[in-house]
Amino acid sequence: MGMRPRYVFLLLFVCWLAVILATVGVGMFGISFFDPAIFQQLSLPRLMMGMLAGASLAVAGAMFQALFRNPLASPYTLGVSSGASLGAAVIFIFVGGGLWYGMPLVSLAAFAGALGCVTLVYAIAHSRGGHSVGTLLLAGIVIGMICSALIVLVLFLAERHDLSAVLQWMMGSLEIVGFNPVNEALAMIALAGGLAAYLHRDLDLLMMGETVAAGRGVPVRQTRALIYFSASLLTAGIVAHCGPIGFVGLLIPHIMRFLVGPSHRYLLPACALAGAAFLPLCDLLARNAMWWLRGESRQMPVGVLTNLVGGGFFIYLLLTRRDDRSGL
Amino acid sequence: MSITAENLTVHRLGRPVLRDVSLRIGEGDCICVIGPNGAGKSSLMAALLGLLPVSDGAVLMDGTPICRLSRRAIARRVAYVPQIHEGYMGFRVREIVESGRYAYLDPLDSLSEEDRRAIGEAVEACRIETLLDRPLDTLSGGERQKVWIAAALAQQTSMLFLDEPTNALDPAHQAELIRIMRGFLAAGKTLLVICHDLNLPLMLGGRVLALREGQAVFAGPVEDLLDTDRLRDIFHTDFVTHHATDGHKSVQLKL
Repeated sequence: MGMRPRYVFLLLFVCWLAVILATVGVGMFGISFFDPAIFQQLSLPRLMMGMLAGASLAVAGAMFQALFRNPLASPYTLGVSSGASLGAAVIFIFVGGGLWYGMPLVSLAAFAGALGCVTLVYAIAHSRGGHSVGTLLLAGIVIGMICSALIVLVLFLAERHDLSAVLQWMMGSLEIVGFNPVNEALAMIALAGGLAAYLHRDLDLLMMGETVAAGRGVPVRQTRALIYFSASLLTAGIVAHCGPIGFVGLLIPHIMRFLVGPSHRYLLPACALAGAAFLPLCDLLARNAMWWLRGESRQMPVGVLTNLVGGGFFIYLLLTRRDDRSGL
Repeated sequence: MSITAENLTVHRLGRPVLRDVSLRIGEGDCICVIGPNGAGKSSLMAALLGLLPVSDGAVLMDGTPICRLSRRAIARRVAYVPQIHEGYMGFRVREIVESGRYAYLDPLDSLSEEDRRAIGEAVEACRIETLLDRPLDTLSGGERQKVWIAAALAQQTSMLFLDEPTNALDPAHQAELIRIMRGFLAAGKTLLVICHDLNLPLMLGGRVLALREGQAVFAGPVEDLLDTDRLRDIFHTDFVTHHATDGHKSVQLKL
């Protein structure tokens, strides 16, 4: 475990550049991204959203894993993504969008949903005596299922017929138009990312154990609240526009912890960079899969691919983790 | 630098774990807390650090109620080595010891010269120079304990709280840790140590506080532990004591 962080960052940077070049070069279903009009309206926003989403979800995953000292925690497995989706879906379907004091309502609702879910999951797991990997995970999965059911209920009640668009979003998709979503997400992510950097030592200490952290001078309760806040914000900022893209927040932190070690000083930036390369790469593959395989111009949502890859990795973790408490 | 507990009562999950306990820890003291399992020793230590809410009485740090001090301010005065480490053990020894500097660092600062000096001194005092690049989960219990103590030492506090530091260690590591603790006392540090091994207080000197069912049942100099009637009152079992002519004192179970 643990190459020199400098080399890892260099390697990640090269991968990131390669993904950008490949995205622009390959384009989608045969249309190169060099076409200026398409590039401005579709390709560039989509590439940027992919980078933001990958980076945010990976950093949020690393934060949740430190917070719960649980290797299987991530925005997706804790039900946080589903909560954010529910919040976003309710506003999107019944209100349609709009601003509240200059802040986008859908994103705010996603944030409320994310925060509500993570609080609920924590309360359920905690009432069963703390930090068992299994209880936390089950709570997350159940809350996720309830949220998905509620989304379907909301759709049903609203008698919406354009289900395929909603389904695409619920699967996790980077199909956006224009720069507005990117800017909205960027505002939330900049705030949360700044907080994450500010908390990197606290995250290390919480991972060493809460008693140790308190003894070293960490105000544990406030710090935990700040971590909940920023990880939920990172998740919600993305889910509001892209839906629940699965498993990026599980996969990337694990690989990065293996490469640069557990210290968040290196782990968080490594996750951001790797996520920013990984998700656009997945999107590139998912978007062109139907074109390459069957010559059709339909696009597969990126969530399908991340769920397939991440699900496999999740099973691998379940089979190989060492013990219930700290097999991170 | 002093910590005073006045008529401390503490509840955990609705049950009283400490009742009306008073204690004063002054500059350079060495106090061992003894007592049977569940007597409230660890709870007392946590309450003295402000980590447990107090239902009655008060904990004062240099005259200030501890609940009014920030965790950071407390961590600059008292360092704490808990007994149970429930955290992730994949950190390297270097990272664990560096974490002792948390209370002195602004969030985005990197380690200063002074931080590095404090870390170097702590590493040297606990003799873990050769372990620095190893992950904690590859170390033996005794080595880990030295690492946690080094991290606490890097906090550069005048007081150290150790919860059962020699528990479950082999004799060589026990001896080494006792030497390290004696070194702290010689350097003028204040120690509060929870222990099950009654010979540890005898080797460290100073005072003992005995707890039973959350109440202080004895407080006095360690020499008074050599009274077998008193030990029976505390632990409800029989002991034999030796006081050799060379000054060596020990306590053993009598079966």
